[in-house]
Amino acid sequence: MALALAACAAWGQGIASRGVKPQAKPKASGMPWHAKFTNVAQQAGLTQVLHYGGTEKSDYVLETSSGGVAIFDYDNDGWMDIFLVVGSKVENPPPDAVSRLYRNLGGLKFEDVTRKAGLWREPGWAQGAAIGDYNNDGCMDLFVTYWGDNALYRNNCDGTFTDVAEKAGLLPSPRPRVPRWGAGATFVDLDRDGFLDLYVSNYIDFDLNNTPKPGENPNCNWKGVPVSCGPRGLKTARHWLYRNRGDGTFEDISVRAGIAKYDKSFGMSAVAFDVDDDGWQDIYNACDSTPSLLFRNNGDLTFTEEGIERGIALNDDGMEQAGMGLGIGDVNLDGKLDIFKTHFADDTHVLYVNDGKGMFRDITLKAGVGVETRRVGWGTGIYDFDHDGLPDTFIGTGCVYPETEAALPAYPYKTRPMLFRNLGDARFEWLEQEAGPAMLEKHSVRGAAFGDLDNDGDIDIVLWNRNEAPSLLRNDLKTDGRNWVLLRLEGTKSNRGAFGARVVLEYGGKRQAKAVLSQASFYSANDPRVHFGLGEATRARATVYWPSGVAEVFELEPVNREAVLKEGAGRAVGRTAAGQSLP
Amino acid sequence: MLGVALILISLAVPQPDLLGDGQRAFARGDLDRAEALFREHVKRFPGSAEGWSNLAAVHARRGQYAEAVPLYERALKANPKLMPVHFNLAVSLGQLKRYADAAAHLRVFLKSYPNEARARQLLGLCLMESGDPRGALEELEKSYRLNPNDGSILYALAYAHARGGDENQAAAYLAKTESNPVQAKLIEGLLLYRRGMWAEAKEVFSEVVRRKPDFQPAVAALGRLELLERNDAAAIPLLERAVSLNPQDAESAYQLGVLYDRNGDSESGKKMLKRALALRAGYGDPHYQLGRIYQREGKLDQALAELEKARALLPEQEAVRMALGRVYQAMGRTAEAKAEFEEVRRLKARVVERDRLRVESDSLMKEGPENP
Repeated sequence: MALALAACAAWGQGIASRGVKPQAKPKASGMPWHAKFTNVAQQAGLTQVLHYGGTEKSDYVLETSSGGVAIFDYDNDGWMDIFLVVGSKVENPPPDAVSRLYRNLGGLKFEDVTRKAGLWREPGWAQGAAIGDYNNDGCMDLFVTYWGDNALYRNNCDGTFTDVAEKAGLLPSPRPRVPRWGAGATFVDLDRDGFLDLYVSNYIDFDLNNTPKPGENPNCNWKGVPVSCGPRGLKTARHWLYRNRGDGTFEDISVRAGIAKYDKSFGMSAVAFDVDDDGWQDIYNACDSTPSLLFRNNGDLTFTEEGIERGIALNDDGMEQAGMGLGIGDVNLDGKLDIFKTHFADDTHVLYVNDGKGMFRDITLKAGVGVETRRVGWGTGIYDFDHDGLPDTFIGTGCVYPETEAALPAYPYKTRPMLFRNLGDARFEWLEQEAGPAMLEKHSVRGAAFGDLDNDGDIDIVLWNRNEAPSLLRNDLKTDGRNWVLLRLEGTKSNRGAFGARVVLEYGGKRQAKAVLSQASFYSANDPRVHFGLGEATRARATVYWPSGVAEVFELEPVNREAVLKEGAGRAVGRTAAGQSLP
Repeated sequence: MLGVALILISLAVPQPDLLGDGQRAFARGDLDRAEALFREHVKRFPGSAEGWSNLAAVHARRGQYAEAVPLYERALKANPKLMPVHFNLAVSLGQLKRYADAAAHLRVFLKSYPNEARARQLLGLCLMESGDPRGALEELEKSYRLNPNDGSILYALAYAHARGGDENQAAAYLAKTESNPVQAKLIEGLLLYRRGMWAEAKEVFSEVVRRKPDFQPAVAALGRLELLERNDAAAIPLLERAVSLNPQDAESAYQLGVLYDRNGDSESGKKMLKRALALRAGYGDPHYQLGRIYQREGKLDQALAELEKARALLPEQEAVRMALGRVYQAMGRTAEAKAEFEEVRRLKARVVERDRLRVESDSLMKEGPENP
């Protein structure tokens, strides 16, 4: 501890880091890897530059972090579409700085339908995206956070959207003196009434006109180089919880739910799932340079913050980290959802395993994912990219500051993404060129979203590259006899999109959990269909723990297809209740 | 750095012939004669604190500090109120590099003689050597205020500021000193380190060690820098050498303990951490590290004992409260765990708020007073 203090005394900085070195990279396993990624964004038509702040330098923290990507099927044509947030510039924003919706035409071809879909909005500081069918009409809606007014884009089920944020009661009234900084957000049914409520984290109480300039105080430098200030030294913000009344409007219950009082954190990505298997949805909010928050659902629309108690607020040394992105999956195949959280440079990303009762253990070093610490991690996901039945981990990376590279060449602005293959027993191996040419491309990535964009059964990736066009990493997986399933969940008593549902799949002697998430990764929304690689297994059994509290079993045979699991159509096996876990 | 200042004690004389003659012999440098007279005196009057103290002084003058120490202790046993004996004993202890023990006696002495500049300086140096630069700084600055004409203290002050205080102050003190290349280089290295210029600091420390391989403060500084840069393989031999050159350096012992543990040798780590605790009273960090090791080993009772000691010494350290909370939690002591975790939340929030207030106050300072 005194060592850490001594290190900190040498210089301050705005973003938490531990100053750690990477763990030694173990000897390569030599096992073949079948999933090769190729960036096909250009030919796919994803060409819009994702404007965000200065290209050479950033004077404000506002310019540095954004990156929402959403993969969802907005027009119910069976092909996953892509939404990408676009930001602004402090001075002279270009007229094309508008968030984009790309319609999937099939064959990995996309058409920009932003204007046609009614999503054209004046340039602004868009941040993240969350998906959910908040009005249960069968058409996926979209929530976009901003430094400014957040947007709730109601899907009109005719290929167009309408921003109903104000009408739905999601905008502050009266307007605050400085805009709120909406950051992470997630739809979640907190009271099991079948309607999705909404949690919105805020990053900084940020006043553009009263923020110190680079170099003005110890929080405005990194390794001695002046950079934009913050988040340390700036005002923290509070987070917001809105209950869905079921009539298209929301009620702010932040104070009475016990959320509002946690106002000493810099909130980033948010995920909602049943962390402790008690049948109620909880909210986990990665926070930058402050303890991350776990709002545990008491079952009565009140929450107890238990991040520290459950081991996911701080690192093993009790220090806060620069919590950015969140990957949720089951890395050790015990049927429980684990958490992978990405961080700043000179720190490791952290892998927490869940003991099934919502208590987490940091296994970063044991898992072998601490082998690189120069790259800042952002969007991340836990997916089985090679269909061997073991979920792997992907991280989009990129330095926060464009201007530091000249003075700090060891920390370049644009860096390669990282892929860790799961070797089994929650041990990982870092793959680079083995995973295809896209893994050697350097960008300053923020958001990342995962999904099957060409419906070939494997997981592709969309990366949000700051001030560049996005990347579309097509997964060219040679299946080699390996199988997969893609599960589209449909709630009947639960919210229609089944957000928050946990699926435990049994296949080939293995057991793996996944969840339907409204937001994950960094400020992004993944394909809501649940994907599993099966190895050589040709059949599987899915137990779905619906957000309504009911558990149901579905037999899956044949595999290698997309299956629709409708609540009530399977074989009911029980009902979850507070404090009980189903088998 | 330790300057020896022997103070002979003139006290009431129970046996004038022997004691008085002995003191006169000592004054003219006839140490053998003085020793013989003092020995005869204590043989006749074994309860004479003055006799034991004077005999000890003879050994100290000869540089026989190991012999002097028990004699001074016997004098204090005979009369604990003889404050000057504490000072003389501290000098001998300092020569034996028993800095923590020396500091304890100096503190007793300074209660009665708070304006004794040499004692403050000596205490500062002992604290520095036992790895408490902030405490050292406090004492050295008091000493300098008491005796601003004492040039020898300037290096000590510059060194202490560079280690634990303010680099600008250190540079200012350094500028006042006369040239002493090795000392000055060491301090220059510390200043570079404090300014975040680790590569440059490393170069300077390495140069000092090349020029004077047994200069312990430079070896320790280089080891610490390697440790902070996570170059454990380089840090370990340097800190091992630092501990061997100055076995009383509690800070190097602590850091070596951390290094041994994090490189898979927990048993050696624990030994070194315990050694640091034996060398320096009230040292919270080794208690914390020991607690973490015991916690990891599943020895919860021992972990709890160490972490509770760490909490008593470092109540505002979130890491200590966090580790303690986890141990309580593992022991099923839920209420105590909850209290610790709440304290972690409070302390973390306070850090965030303090950062914000500092930035706000910086901004206000820049704006200056409003024009009428």
